[in-house]
Amino acid sequence: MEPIKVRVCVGTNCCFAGGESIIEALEDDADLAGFVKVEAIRCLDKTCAGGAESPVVTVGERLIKRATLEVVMEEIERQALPLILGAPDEEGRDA
Amino acid sequence: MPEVFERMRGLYTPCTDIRRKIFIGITRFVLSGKKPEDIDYLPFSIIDMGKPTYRCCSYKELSIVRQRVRLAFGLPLIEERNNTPVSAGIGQAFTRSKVLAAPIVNVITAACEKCPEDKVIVTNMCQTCMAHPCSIVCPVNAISFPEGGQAFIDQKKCIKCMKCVKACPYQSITRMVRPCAAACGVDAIHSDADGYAAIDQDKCVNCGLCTVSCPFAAISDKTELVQVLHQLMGPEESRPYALLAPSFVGQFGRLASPGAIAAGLRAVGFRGVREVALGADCDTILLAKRIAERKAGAAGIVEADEGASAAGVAASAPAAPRAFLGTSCCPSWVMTARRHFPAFAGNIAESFTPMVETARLIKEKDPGARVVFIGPCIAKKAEALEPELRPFVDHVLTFEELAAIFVAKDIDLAAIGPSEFPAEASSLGRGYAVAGGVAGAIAETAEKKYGAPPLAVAKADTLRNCRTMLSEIKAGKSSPDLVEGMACPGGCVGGPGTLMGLAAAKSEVGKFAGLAATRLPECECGGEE
Repeated sequence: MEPIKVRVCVGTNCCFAGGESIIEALEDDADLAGFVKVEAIRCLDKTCAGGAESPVVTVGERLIKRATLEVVMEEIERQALPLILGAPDEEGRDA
Repeated sequence: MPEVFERMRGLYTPCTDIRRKIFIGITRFVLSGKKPEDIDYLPFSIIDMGKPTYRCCSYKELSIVRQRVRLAFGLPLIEERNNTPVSAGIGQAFTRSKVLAAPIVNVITAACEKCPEDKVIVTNMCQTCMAHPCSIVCPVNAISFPEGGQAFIDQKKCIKCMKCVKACPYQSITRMVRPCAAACGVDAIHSDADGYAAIDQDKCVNCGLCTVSCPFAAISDKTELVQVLHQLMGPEESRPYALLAPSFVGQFGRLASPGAIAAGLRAVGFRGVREVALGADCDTILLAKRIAERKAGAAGIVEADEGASAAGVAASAPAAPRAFLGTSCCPSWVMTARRHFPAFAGNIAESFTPMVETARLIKEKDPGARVVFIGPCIAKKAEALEPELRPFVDHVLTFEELAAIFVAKDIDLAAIGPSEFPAEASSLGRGYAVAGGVAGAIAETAEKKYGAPPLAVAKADTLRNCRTMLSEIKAGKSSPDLVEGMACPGGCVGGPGTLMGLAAAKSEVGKFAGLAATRLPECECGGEE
């Protein structure tokens, strides 16, 4: 499977609002290795609105403002589970 | 089990959040030219009334935020429980001069949840089992089963021997120690008459680890943000120099290079930037020289000792191996060593710290200059209050406090292109930020530059470990030539004012040290005191 791309803004606003701790936690999480690709990125066109919406993280296509580790992990799980388990069969059992 | 301050480290918790929001809120308040009389509006830019985020209700949050603001302004704590408005006298903080005074580390009583000090307790996991090994192993008969229910520990009898904790098959018994007190390596935290945490300021060495260990953020240090901001906003000649502690590398995010950090400092108004690793080089040379001379003279000392023993004079004098040299760069370690081991007080080097040495380099060339030390350290705030050091270092900020200035001024360090950071200091000086780096630098310099024989080095980080190390030396279990003590776990990179995780910070410091022009220190002063 193609790993899910998680991009974390490490511009100064986002770093200070917790972006740095999110990216460190994702990189240190051995369970995520292989199906999540973590990338530190520069400011996304001031999406953070001067820090009010920091930190900014994207998981796959989804943009998360005021991201927390909990929300990012939840989104990773939501996107990753179908990839890991495959689509459930007709009776709803896991593949 | 990791130390209490290690467990939350690196996590962005609501405690981190409120602290940083206060710093940003205050910085914006001052930068926008607000006056002391506007102070009552400030808390509302930090918290949202009606939407309690951190506490049981907005009114408690408001009260606590006011007190946090007071400390962040550098003023002594006033609590509403004293029937005094918290904003009383806040105007005196609106100055370029120093207002900071001891105590640096303060308990905000309204925020303290009165955790039990130290208690062995039975949790709900207790199954009221037939074997009940807990009460069988208890040497003081403190455990009973009221009405045949779960185990109960009589706190008056319990001696905290932990035997029941180890014996319980369900791991239902645990010891709960107040996190602030557990973090304190000098046992300075007790309870006041009402059960709130209280700091014994005669014992406190300002390491600040309690401030980042309290899960209710009830302990906080004062800051000099407001006074530094006034200097930065002032005329060109009043603007200060920034001194960056060796642990600065990587602290502002992985895309903020040392050169970008220096450029950012100039952009917010600092006149110039120097790295404290320069002062570390002075210290390395000074101590390496001293220890090499001492080793060269050691043969003579041994002979003299033997002569004295023969005469029956020196029977009670300390043995020669105890004549170690202790590092002096960590003020909390120095205070701890001198207070708890007065017999070793003379072993700790009297030299100025790298912060002061670097400030001196600037002030010798520009006597009117103002100097702001920026580091990971809360103890440096107290060090800079020492009367004999005041002329050198005007103010102290943490990396966290500086980052708030960058955010409030909307300066993105990651967007600053490649910028040079002058290679002034040595690799070894830049390595002072990591535990082992100070002693390593001194030993290597003593050996390679001054021809000393290989030195026996003892080192410890965290004050508890430092105390154990000194106890062992005192007991004669080890006899090092050189002793390094660091209050913070992992060294300065693990300080309470840091922004980046320990592993990443260590690696960044290592990389930056590799970029230095020389490995061994070269210092203009040549080790003159």
